[in-house]
Amino acid sequence: MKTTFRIVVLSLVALIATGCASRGPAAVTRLKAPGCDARWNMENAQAIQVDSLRAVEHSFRTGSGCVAESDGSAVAYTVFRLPRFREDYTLQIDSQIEGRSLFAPELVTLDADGKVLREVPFDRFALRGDRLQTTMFFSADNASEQYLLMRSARQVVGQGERRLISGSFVIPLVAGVLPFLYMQGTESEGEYTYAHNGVVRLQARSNAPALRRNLQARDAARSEIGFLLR
Amino acid sequence: MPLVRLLALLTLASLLGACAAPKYRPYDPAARTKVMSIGLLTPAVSDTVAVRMEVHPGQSFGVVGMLIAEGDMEGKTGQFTRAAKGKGFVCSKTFLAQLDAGLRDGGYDVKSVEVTRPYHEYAFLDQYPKADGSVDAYLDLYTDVIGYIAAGGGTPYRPTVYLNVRLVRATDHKVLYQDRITYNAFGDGNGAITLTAAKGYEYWDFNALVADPARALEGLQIAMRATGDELARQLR
Repeated sequence: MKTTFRIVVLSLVALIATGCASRGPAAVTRLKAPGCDARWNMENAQAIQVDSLRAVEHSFRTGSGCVAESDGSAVAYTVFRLPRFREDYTLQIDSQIEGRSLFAPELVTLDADGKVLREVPFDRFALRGDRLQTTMFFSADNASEQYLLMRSARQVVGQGERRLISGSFVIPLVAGVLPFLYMQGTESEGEYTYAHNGVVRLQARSNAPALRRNLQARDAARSEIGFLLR
Repeated sequence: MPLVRLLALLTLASLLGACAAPKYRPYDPAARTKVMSIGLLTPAVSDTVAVRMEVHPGQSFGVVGMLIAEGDMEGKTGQFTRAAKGKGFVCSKTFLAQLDAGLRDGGYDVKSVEVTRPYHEYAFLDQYPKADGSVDAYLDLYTDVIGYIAAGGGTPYRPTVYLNVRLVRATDHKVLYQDRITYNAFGDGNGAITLTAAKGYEYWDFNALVADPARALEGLQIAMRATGDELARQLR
């Protein structure tokens, strides 16, 4: 009886915790032109570095950058400064679900004068768990691409998507003298909406770093082993 | 003592190394334009239609419980597979047809290439056929799961497909693209592309699932089509 009671209480705690985790900012699906920039502003572009340990993060929030569209609406945007080209690299871009909202990204690369060179539409992103993700490739052919403009894809903003979230939890219990693990699979159904707001992360990685990374790993391992043998 | 630490460190490093094996390799648009024809290798697709729970209630009761759980799931899988075969449903044939159509819609010239795979081994090939000039790349596919999977005892069975895909250049067998596409993934999909299971094909207990195999197989075909379409979308 006591064990059953514990299971029920802990299941309720787990359910409440799961419920809390799904809360987040409301989806912003309408932006109005007044107060927004007339065209992209490339000043204060956030720099992206190749092989940096930390991903570049940007939050699209109410009041952050937006640009007016001809029909009186607006889209959210931000500009990143791409690394100066030295060797081939890839750029992984993630947009993460926050509660019921998911920033709907589309990308454009620009040269130093703001001329559009390459476009990555929204449909090149794929959902991987709780994030939309795509990877861009940069080679010598793209050396003139100096900025990356990220904006909300207005054609999908406002669209809702269904989502199933499954998982499990384990509770260690003692029944009499025997310990055992109570395991339970869980599933909940939710929705998210493509929005003008959300959080994105960008990480650039060089394409031919295998040797360099191996050497770094070797040096780190040597240092660690040396420390352990001391 | 330092030796123990060293051994522990090496064990940990090897485990982490195994975890870090590349599962996902994005498809470079530059390589994409050079691939116009694809050799679709005989995929490793099981004709067993799995009926399983990710977390079976029996698993809470130690080794004996786990054995009972495994026996329960094996029995249900066998029963549902027989029902599916009775309806003329063969996973590998259905899946190939869906993929072939999706790739042709994507503008690829598709040619079936027969390869022999080890019996009951679901993994990428170790060696690929030598290039004969008829295709630009080989598509290597295998499935982990095709069937109805429930997260646990109190959740419904849903149609599920886990597809692993690798595209290799025919001439030098360089991996151009590698990915995993999951329909009704458990958890966050562990980096795989995740597709949400369609509504209307959930079964709250096994009896309901086997009572209407025709509809259940329809749900599975929808899952296969969605997975194949997503693969074709990735290759476009």
